[in-house]
Amino acid sequence: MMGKIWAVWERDLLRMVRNPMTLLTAILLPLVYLLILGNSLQGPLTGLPLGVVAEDQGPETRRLLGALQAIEHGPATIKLVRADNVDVAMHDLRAGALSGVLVVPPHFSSDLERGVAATPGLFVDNVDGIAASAVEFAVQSALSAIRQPLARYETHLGQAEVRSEEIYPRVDYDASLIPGVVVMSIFMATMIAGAFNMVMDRFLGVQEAYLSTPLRRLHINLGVLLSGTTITCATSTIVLAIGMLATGVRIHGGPWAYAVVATVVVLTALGMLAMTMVLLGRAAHPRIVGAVNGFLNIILFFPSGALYPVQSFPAWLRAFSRVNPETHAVAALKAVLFRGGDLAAATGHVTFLACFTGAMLLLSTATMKRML
Amino acid sequence: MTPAIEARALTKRFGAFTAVDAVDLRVEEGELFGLLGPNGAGKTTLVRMLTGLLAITSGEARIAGVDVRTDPDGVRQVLGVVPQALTSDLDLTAYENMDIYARYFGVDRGARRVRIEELLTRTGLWERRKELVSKFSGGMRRRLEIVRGLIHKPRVLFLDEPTIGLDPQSRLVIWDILRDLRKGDSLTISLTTHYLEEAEALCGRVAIVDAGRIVALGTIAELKELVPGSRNLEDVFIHFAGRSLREEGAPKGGPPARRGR
Ligand SMILES: Nc1ncnc2c1ncn2[C@@H]1O[C@H](COP(=O)(O)OP(=O)(O)OP(=O)(O)O)[C@@H](O)[C@H]1O
Ligand SMILES: [Mg+2]
Repeated sequence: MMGKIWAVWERDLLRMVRNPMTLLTAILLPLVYLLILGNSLQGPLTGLPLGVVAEDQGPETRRLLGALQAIEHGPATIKLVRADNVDVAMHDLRAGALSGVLVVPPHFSSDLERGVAATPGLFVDNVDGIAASAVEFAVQSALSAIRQPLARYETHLGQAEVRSEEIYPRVDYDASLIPGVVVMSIFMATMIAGAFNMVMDRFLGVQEAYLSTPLRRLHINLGVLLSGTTITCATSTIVLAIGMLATGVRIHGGPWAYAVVATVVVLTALGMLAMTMVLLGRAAHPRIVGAVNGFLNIILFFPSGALYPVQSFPAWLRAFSRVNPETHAVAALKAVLFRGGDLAAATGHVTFLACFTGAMLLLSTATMKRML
Repeated sequence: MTPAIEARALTKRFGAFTAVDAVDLRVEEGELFGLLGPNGAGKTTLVRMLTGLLAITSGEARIAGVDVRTDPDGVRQVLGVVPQALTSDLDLTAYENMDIYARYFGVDRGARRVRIEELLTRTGLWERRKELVSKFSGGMRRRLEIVRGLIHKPRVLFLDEPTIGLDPQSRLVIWDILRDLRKGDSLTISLTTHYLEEAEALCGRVAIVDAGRIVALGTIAELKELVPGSRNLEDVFIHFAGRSLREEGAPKGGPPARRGR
């Protein structure tokens, strides 16, 4: 049983390894692609969830909240979420449910009226640098909005500024793209492995040789998917290593964090390969595989949150991104790489990937074409 | 005795087109059986159904008594197939091609080594076993693929035009291999060919296939008797399959045998 799977695995792997140019493309392309795209995509953000903890009920606080609501209803950069206490809000922030938490301290209104420095605290989820600065900017403008009508206090109110505190070590924009680069490299490798090899065999008429042997669907499908996974893991590990070296990002959290990264990469690779096998396993020409994969790349990668926060999408795209395996791969990698080894934040995403991959494996074996 | 190959009313339709039309066939164990017929006659389609590669539209097929439809895996275990197209992997060496193929049949490591050396030596490829097949000539590749089909000691071997495009020397080498094979065990061979002298040299009985039907069947001597005045198999072939190109649908030269359109 295993012997036959490994025989299929070895054949498929040898063919790919002996064509190193294609493998090189799978490594270089995502690096170049993201370098270019990552630097050219910067549009307005909307709907970033901002938790507000108001420990003061005075008039200035109400005006500040009013200004924030104006932003929520106007440019809609933020979406206000009332929180009862700081602990709950901070927990949500760490879990990725909030993009920022604004804490209005007690006596904020009275301090302001007395001309004393009043400093609301803003905590931002700097894992996503663009979203963090958008939240910060929104709060800054709300604060300056309430200062406008209070012109008479202006000279005394020089310190009514927001003090922003990032909850994780700083992530710059290039570094924040690394999960996307890795997911892209996984996708690239699935284009030159798995279904592509299977369809190429059919196209060349080579599959007639092994279809007349006692290999079962499971042997063929699993052998080809596992060799694809092997190749994909190798290329995306190289991409991850280069990305980490170039940006200085490190994996914190010890062996477990490495294990989670490895799990995410393996599950994503296997799941994506199996998915393309379901979609393309029966195609007759390798050109079809190329065309459909190009299309898949666009519709999976851009809504994945790799380049741009999911909050910037219209509702329908957000809904799609929730079932997009690449979204969960990106989110899981971000959690491990940038949330200081907080593995709990990755659990939900890894669970999704495991279910997705399992379903695709079953489906691809069931739909495999065993005859000519 | 159970026949090695048995077909009953075996039929294949591609849409409205009938490629193989209710073929009945019985080949005994140890025979070297020839399948002749013009291009597009349905030989490959027939072989593909018998080897479980193509879904059977209707009828029955058995290999060594095992039903192709109900137990395709059982059939594949006793079957050796050398397809019409070249199917070895160019990016793999000759040895790797043989070894991986043997593993598909679950041949264990020790037996694989012995068998590969024996088969590659027999075809003069042992010295070049570590070379990529992409470096092989067409003849070398053919030889490799013929012995690859024997790696698991099949009981029935199907060869679909194994000598096509080979020079006379290479063809003789392959003939020798096939003759050798018949001597040893009770291997049954079905050989598809366009070379009539090949059929005369090797085959016991032959079937002439035309437009999806078997139009003549018997030993070469029997067939010659059927066609008065025929000197060789070519005369017989022309008599049954006609002179004109089948694809053109032109009227046929020879007297028509019962043939459905
Ligand atoms: N997959 C297919 N779909 C439709 N028609 C097919 C298919 N495969 C074969 N045919 C048709 O079936 C007929 C028989 O083809 P087949 O390949 O069996 O002929 P053959 O006797 O092996 O010919 P050749 O000597 O040229 O190899 C041909 O008319 C061919 O066009
Ligand atoms: Mg043919």
